[in-house]
Order: sequence, then structure tokens, then C-alpha cells
Amino acid sequence: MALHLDDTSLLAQFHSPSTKEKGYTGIVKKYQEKLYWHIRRMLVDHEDTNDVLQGVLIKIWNGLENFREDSKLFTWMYRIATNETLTFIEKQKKRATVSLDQESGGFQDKIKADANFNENQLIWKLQLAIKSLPEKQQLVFNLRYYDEMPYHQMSELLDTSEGALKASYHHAAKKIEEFIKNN
Amino acid sequence: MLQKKLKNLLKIIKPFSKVKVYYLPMYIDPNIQEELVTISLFWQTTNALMPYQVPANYFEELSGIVRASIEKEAVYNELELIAPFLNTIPKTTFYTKPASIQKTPIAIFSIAKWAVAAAFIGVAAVGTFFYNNKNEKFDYAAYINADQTKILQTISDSTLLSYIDAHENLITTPEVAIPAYTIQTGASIIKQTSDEALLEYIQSSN
Repeated sequence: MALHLDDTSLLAQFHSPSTKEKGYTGIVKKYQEKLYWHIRRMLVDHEDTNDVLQGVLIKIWNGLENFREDSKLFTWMYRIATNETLTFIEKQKKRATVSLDQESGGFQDKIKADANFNENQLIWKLQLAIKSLPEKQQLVFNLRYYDEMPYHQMSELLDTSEGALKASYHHAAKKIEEFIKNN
Repeated sequence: MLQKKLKNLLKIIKPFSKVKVYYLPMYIDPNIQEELVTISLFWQTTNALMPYQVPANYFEELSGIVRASIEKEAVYNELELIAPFLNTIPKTTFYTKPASIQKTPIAIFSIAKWAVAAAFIGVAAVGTFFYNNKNEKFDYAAYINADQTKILQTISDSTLLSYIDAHENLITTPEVAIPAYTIQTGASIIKQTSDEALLEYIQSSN
């Protein structure tokens, strides 16, 4: 695993004209995988994820100049990725005229279309179960379960109280359990 | 606990050992699992693994691809300020490469035949030219610069005498005879002319 500089050093590199690109590349290399999986868990498809992630990284380049260092770089990047992903889903909904909140067949079909999909394996069942949740609950569950994000950081990211996030996570876990047991 | 997790992980990964699958073992914080177990014991049986695949070298190449996109966007925005109309024209190349050039078969034998004939004619012409040129050559420079005294010394006296005898009329200086012209004056002309003629002349000139 590659060693990465701390955020302060990377930002200092970015703000210096001679090392701007180096600093940006360092930031991308450090967080690209986390951002990728954050988006991929929501969109399932790699190509869609790639499109959204590239857009996110371009927005990060354009916004880093004005980035206020009172919030964590990682949280700020996650917020951009989350907003872009939700916007992408909204656009897809409009195109398909199908509400993915109520009928998640679209994403579940994408999961089933995966070359390695195995309906008997728990990890695949778990993915199907997560996609049966409303988008906000999916986000909360993914951030806590996969990214192990503390509630206070999640609260900053999603502009939701910690209590509401804990409740949402609880409901999500219960629904997933029910889905897997029934399928 | 950790050993149990690893065993479970290996059980899942083993069937995929020949497939390039990117599993993300993120579920390592015990607090997260404890939290889930308080919700339901069901969560003791699960693993936080992602079964999705990512193309090979995707993360290695991503930053370069994004930098290229940023540069492309910068070029677009720059042109948008200078000449926005140009941004509406597609940048596709309209030049096309020829699919394949049809090569007509070349009759090598007939070309060779003509080449041999041309070469033969050329050799004959050049040979004739040099042969004729050699006969007609006259070294004027050598002729002008030749030392006449030395040449005469190489010729015997008898040869010279016989040459002089044979060409006496050319070598000796000819005597130039100047003819005796008599200038006729008016008086002499009058003496030679008859009275009748003179009279006729006077009458006609009046």
C-alpha cells in the first residue's frame, strides 16, 4: 500500500503554483478508492461510477482553491461525491420514469447482471438487500458499515443529527436482515 | 475472533481465486460489529465485503485521465471566452485515410525488354559519338603554342628544298603590277568626240 502525505501537506503543495499538480495528484491518489467505492455502492455499475467519480474529481480541482480548511478535506470530498451521486440517480430516475426509492428493480437488476453474481452467496444477497432501502438509508448504512465513519463526521457530511443517523442505521440493519431471511 | 473472521474471509475468496475480484475487507472495527450485534445476532454471520470488480490498473490510471479531462475543460473554457463559436464546431477529423490503394500489376517482362533495347541504342549512340569526335579533334592550343623553329629543325634540308621548289609560286613574293590608269580630262574627251555629237549634246542640255 502506498504511503500518503497528510492532508495539510497535500493542501500546501496544491496551493503552491510550482507543486499544484503534484498536490492534487496526491489528494486523488489518497482518496480515489474510498470515493470510488462510496459511489459504486450506490450506482452498482462501474461505468456509471467512473463517470460520476471523474466529475467529482474535476469539481474537487475547481473547488480546492476556495476550500475552507475549517472542515476536513475528506468530509468535503465525500460531500461532493454524495451530491453528485444523488444527482446522477435523480437524472436516471427521470429518464427511466421509475422511482428507485419504491421500486429498486433497476439497481437490483444491475447487481444480478454482474458476471460473478451468485444468489446463494451472502455477500450478493447483502447487496440486493441494501439496494432495497431508500437512498438516504443506503447512504447511512454504507458509510457506517463499510466506511466505518463516526456519527459526528457523518452528521457533518449529511447535515443530519447524530441521533437521527443512529436511528436510520438501526432501521436499515433490521430491514436488511429481514430481506436476507426472506430471500 | 480475528482468526474466525479470516477463516470466513478465505472461504469466500477461495471460489474466486481465478477471477480478478476486488474485495474490500473494510469490516475491521470491532465497535461497528458490536453495534450491529446489539441490533441483531444475525449480523455475526455477515462479512463487510464488496463483491464488485474493478478493471485492472483502474486506480493507477485514474489521476492521469482526470488531469487530461481538466486540461480539456480548461481549453474549452479559454476558447469560450475568446471565440465561443469555435466551441460549437466539432473537433472530429474529417480527413480520411485511403482504404487501400489498388496496385495494378506491372508487366515486368515487357518493361525489361524495352529497357534492354534502350540501353543497346544508348551504348551504340555514345560509341559512335566518341569515335567521330576523336577524328575531328584538332588541338588548336597546341598548334598556336608550338615552337616553329624546333619543328623546322626536325625536317631535313632536302625535304625543305623540295617543298620550296614545289611551292615556289606561293613562297616567293609576287610582283604586284599596278595598271597604268590614264585620267581623262575634259579637254581630251572633247578632242575625242565628233562635232556632231558635241552639237547634239549642247542642244539637248539647253
